[in-house]
Amino acid sequence: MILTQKGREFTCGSARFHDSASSHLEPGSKIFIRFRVAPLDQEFLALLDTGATWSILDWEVAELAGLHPESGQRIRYSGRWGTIEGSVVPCLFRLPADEGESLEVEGSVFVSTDWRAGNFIGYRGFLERIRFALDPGENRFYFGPCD
Amino acid sequence: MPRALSIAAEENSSQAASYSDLIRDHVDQGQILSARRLLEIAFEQGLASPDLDLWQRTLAPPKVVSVEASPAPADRSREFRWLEKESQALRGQWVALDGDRLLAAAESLKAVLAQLNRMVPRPRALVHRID
Repeated sequence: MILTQKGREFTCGSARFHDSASSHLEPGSKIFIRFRVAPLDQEFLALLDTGATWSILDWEVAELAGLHPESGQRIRYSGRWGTIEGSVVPCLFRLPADEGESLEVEGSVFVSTDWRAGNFIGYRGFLERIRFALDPGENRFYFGPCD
Repeated sequence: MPRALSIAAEENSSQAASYSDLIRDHVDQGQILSARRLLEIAFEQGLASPDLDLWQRTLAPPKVVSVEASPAPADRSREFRWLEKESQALRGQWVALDGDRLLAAAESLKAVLAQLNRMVPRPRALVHRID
């Protein structure tokens, strides 16, 4: 199913999300969406966190994807976990659809050798140019390009 | 280099460095739109430096580069059910799942991907660390 808004396509695809995958910093249900990061060809799960300024990749994922802090601007990133040092680096994300079309996004992500607490999809550098919607009845994450 | 040009280059470099510091302050505080605007102002003033170029790449808004149907779309419902019901015994480990089959598990992601790479045909697994 493709969502529309005033007759125009709002999303291009969707995929089921998982909402109880792990404790992931704190207990409770969270929304985990599927993603891929080039050049790795396996899918991973990331916590959808619209309150996070940046997306973050677990260091093991970032390292194997060749995303090293030395290639970006050093910054300090503060969140509910405290403040960590790392870099924001360009990367190529894919949101795989199990219905409709998948989306590939040239974005940016925060990477830090200190970060071993999973993957987060945040707003700047990723979600800010994507339309998205959630159907908690079907556990379905809808997405599409924001023209 | 003539002295006047040398002084101008030094001023450019100094101003570019000041802007870069200011941009970093904004980014550290999560003020990304302000940081992008500062970068625009720096370029409008004709400033140039490798540091500003790196900020430009870092702060560039994301861009959707392709929208296409997946050749073999995978519904991961079975993987999700496995994570919900079976994963607790593997806390702290990376796991690779294909449907409700556990293909690989290890303490490092590198080891899990190495196990997947040895499989023929190579599976398109869902990989996750059990916290």
